[in-house]
Amino acid sequence: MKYVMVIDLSQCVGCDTCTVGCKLDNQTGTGIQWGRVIEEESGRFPEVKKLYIPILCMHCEESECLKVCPTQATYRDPRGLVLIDYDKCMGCKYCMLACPYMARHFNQARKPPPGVPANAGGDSRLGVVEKCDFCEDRLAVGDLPRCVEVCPYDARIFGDRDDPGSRVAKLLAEEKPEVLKPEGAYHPSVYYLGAK
Amino acid sequence: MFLPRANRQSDRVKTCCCICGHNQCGLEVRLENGAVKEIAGDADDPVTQGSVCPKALASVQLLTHPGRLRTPLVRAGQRGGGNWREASWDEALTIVAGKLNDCKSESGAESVVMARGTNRGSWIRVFNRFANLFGTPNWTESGGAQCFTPRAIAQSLTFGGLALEWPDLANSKCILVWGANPPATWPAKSKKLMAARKRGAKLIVIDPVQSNIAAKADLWLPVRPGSDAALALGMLHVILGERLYDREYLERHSVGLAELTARVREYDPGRVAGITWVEEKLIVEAARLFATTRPACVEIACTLDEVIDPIQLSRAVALLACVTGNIDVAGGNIFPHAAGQVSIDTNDFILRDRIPIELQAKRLGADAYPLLGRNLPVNFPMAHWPAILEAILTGKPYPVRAIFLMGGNPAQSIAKSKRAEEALRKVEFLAVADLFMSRTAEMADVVLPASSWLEQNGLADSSQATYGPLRIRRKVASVGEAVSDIEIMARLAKRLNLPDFWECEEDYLNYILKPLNVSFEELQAKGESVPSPMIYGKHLEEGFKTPSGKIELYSRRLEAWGYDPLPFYREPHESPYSTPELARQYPFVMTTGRRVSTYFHTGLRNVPALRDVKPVPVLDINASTARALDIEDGDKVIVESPYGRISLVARLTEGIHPRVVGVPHGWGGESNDNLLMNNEICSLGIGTTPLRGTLCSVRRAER
Amino acid sequence: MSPRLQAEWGTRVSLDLFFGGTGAGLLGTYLLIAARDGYRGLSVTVLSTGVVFVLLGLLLLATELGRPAKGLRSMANRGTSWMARGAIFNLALIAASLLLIAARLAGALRLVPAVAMLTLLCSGLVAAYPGFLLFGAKDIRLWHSRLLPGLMFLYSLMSGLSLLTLADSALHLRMEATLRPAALIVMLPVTIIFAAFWGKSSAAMGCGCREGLRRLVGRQLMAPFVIGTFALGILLPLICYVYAAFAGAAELPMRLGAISFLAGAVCLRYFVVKAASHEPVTFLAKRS
Repeated sequence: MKYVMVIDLSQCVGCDTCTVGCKLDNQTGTGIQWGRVIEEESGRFPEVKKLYIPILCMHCEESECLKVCPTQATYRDPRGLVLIDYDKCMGCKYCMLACPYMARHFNQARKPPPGVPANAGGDSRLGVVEKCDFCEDRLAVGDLPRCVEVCPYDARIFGDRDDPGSRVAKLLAEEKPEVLKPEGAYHPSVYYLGAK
Repeated sequence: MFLPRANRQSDRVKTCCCICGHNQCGLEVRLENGAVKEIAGDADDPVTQGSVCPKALASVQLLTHPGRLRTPLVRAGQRGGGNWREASWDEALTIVAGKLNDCKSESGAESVVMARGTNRGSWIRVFNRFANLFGTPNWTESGGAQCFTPRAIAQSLTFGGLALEWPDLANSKCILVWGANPPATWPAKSKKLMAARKRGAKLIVIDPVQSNIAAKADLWLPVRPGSDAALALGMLHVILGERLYDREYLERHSVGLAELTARVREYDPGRVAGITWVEEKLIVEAARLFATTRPACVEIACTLDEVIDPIQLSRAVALLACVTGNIDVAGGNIFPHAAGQVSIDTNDFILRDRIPIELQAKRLGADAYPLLGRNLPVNFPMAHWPAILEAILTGKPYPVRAIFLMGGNPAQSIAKSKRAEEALRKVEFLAVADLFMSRTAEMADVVLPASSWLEQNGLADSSQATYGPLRIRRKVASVGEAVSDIEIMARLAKRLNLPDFWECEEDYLNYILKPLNVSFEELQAKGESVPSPMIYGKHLEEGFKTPSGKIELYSRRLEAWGYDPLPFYREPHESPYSTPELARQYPFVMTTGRRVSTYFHTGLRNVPALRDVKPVPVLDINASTARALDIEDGDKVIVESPYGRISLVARLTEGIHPRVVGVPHGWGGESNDNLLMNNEICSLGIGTTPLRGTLCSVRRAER
Repeated sequence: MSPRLQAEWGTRVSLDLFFGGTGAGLLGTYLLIAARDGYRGLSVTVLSTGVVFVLLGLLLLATELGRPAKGLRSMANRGTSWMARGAIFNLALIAASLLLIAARLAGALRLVPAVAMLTLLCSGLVAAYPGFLLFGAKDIRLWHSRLLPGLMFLYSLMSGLSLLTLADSALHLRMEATLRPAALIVMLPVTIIFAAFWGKSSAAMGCGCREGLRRLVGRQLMAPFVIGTFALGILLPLICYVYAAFAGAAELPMRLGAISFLAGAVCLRYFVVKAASHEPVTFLAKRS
């Protein structure tokens, strides 16, 4: 079982519905977005090409963060997800430097704005590094990750790569989607269609 | 170890959002122990099919926000001093009704202004009725001459209905998006648009900034702000000149082709390129693509309304759809129709004629702007905000003593905000209904707590939000004593002894549903929506609701009223060409009102999940231009016009002309784009403040 | 998407690297030189200074942590993590040094050589690991340079040697005859690797790296960088040590060179940390 996500960039319009959906679901604090959309431009006016690229933890198979974490707080679970045991993290941020995808965030637990619960995420995440977990507890009950669910354009497809009948397996085989930073050989689990 | 999430076995309720009135996306609200936990799009909704936006998702935070108004408040101390005392609904409404009646009997109903904000659902039409029943000719909205009205008039004059609001995206092969950015503002349409594109539909986008949707376009035309009408006329020139129009369609269904052809002759692409700053070959390519790809549709927004000649611009864009034979056909622009419920979008429903004609004649601003303020077959006549402010500040032509305001924030949303604030502070009595203590509410005498879409029942029946199936909204939460706008009006109507209004919200809903022989309660229990099939070609067969019964490329009505019966282009009154001296000091052409998906007009900046994702107001500026001004991405900048200055954060992009900047919409304080605006010169006939295509300067703020 | 300067580690970490490296370097160079006498007459002051520096480094790192209490787990992933290994090396060095001080104070002369060699070994590890620690961040091209471990090691060595020079002067340890040529001999590879590292970084190492350097040597960082790492850290010490090696009166230039280098060493680590940037996350931009 290996969960992967395929993102169709031709469908992503940068509406940030996934960003806000993820933020609400995980109650992330000020300045922290586990998943968000970056904008890329190339060319000069008026010949400009623009891409909206959703980024999140790539749950790499050659996971740099896992390698460098001194306390083994970061680990891989049997579904192929890279997860953090917040009880073990000491907040050294080495993993944030090792991560090529800007996917990890340090929870300094600054005073949150009104309406946001104090200690966003409860005490479990104060002073640690946190990140996307592919909504592992939704997966556990057969639901999709929140970002996949709320995207109005079906730009995100999620599933088990090892299941030959799954949509992701077919996409990987037929469309040959790309990954970000392939030269790093991190083998991320998030693929992109329409990157050109 | 991990956070507890919403219980997967939670209760699920289907409802419709109403943060903005024009989408009203069908949503699924998930509750746990009766409390709203999370929200998602409802893929089964027959109209919106699962669309949703960040604002809807973040609405959970509206329920627990400490800033929510929970009880009526009565001013204790100086106006704007921030001292309030909690009051019961009874006391608060007695004060309001008493004051409004006193003004009516002492100074005439016209001394009371009924004002509201933008379309946030059907209550906006109920509000019109409420105002007419009270008897004042002076109802208005913050949008008004700036939004919807001009293009509604233009469309009504041209083909007797609002077809441009309804592109039949699902069946279209070519979509022309003009001054709209559906991914940021109209997810229900955006979803259909992107699906059409996936099926191979071509996309042409007209926008000075390379917006979310422009990034996906086959052709992007970065038009100079304020010069859109020239572009539309240039495209008409190509289509008519190269005989790409639908001859048979126009012969059968239109009048005025010869006159239109003569008019557009002078708008050749070369000349238009010089005016609009769009390359000539791009103009020609766009025109040809739109004309030869059938069926094609046009998607527009309020940008068409916010210029110096809005009716002419909307007419020109509408004519593009007309000459290519795309009105009232599948895949083109079609006419909205209801599922059979009582229609709220008529002058009958709002009881316009309850007000005697002599009193209607006193409507503020109607003399200067008859298309806005006089009874015409094509509008909901309303008062002109600048004229109202004038009346408050000077007492001319007669004093305005009281304002009853619902769901609006004119202290921020009207051009020359300082003057608006001054007037609102000065007016004798101000009562405001809102969810939060807005800038305007801060200056009120009485504040009434209104409820959000999660806290009210309703129908998604306002014309923009529905084509065909009628959907319902279900109340799933309540916050303090806040109630819906319709309920507030019902309670106030009782105290004002207004006839022909409803006792309560449910009575109103049942009234609307009467022709369908179902009560609201039954409808809730039975199913989620009242079905209704799509209709094409009805007007092609039976005639259009115009004087000639045909599509009026040449509008005799406009002619009769003293306006140009054909669209034309006029340079904005402040521009690099019309005021070159001024342009030397203010070298940028500015488009204001840029939208983002997390906010709606002046609201929602206090919702934590939304504010954290889009924390600052962003100025779109060309990267090379910015660097030449020593501005880096993320720098604070000062944007200045002859009328004021504001502070923004620079976003460097190649997706904008080097001499154009994009200013964001709806921010308050020192970032309020209305501080840059001037409404001393308004559009002919309708009184629009030109908000797009004016001049400004940009410099970096101190680091 | 432009490259972004890392924002995770700042002044405290750079100082941690300085103190840790200098402490280890001090202990290592001292024990290397003292080996010739069979570790007789070891100065407890010098040893203690070394331990204090290493401890100070660890303390600075601890204040950087979000949850210092969990730091006890930090040795768990020694299989792949240089931070875990570094934690072990640091603790080992402190333990060995304290043991050495104890042995010296207790007069247990038979133990001293063995413990001294153990301490020497540990000091080498502590001097070496920061380079590998930074090297482990693959996406930060400035750090993921094969020259970096060598650079950091040599800097630790030279910092230690500089501190030893000052100690020698203050405590009259009479090591001057060895220190004079040693300083010059170590300074030469330091200079070479300094030039190679910054030269290679600015030339080819990826746009993230170049962007970091652009910001580094642009605007307000240019002067401190040039003055700090080059003028104070390389040029002045070189001049001083060359002069000291071939001229007669050596004490002043040796001390000047040492202080100058130490200042430069702080700057070097500061800029290595501050100029680090991630490669841009991008599909459209040309990959370099």
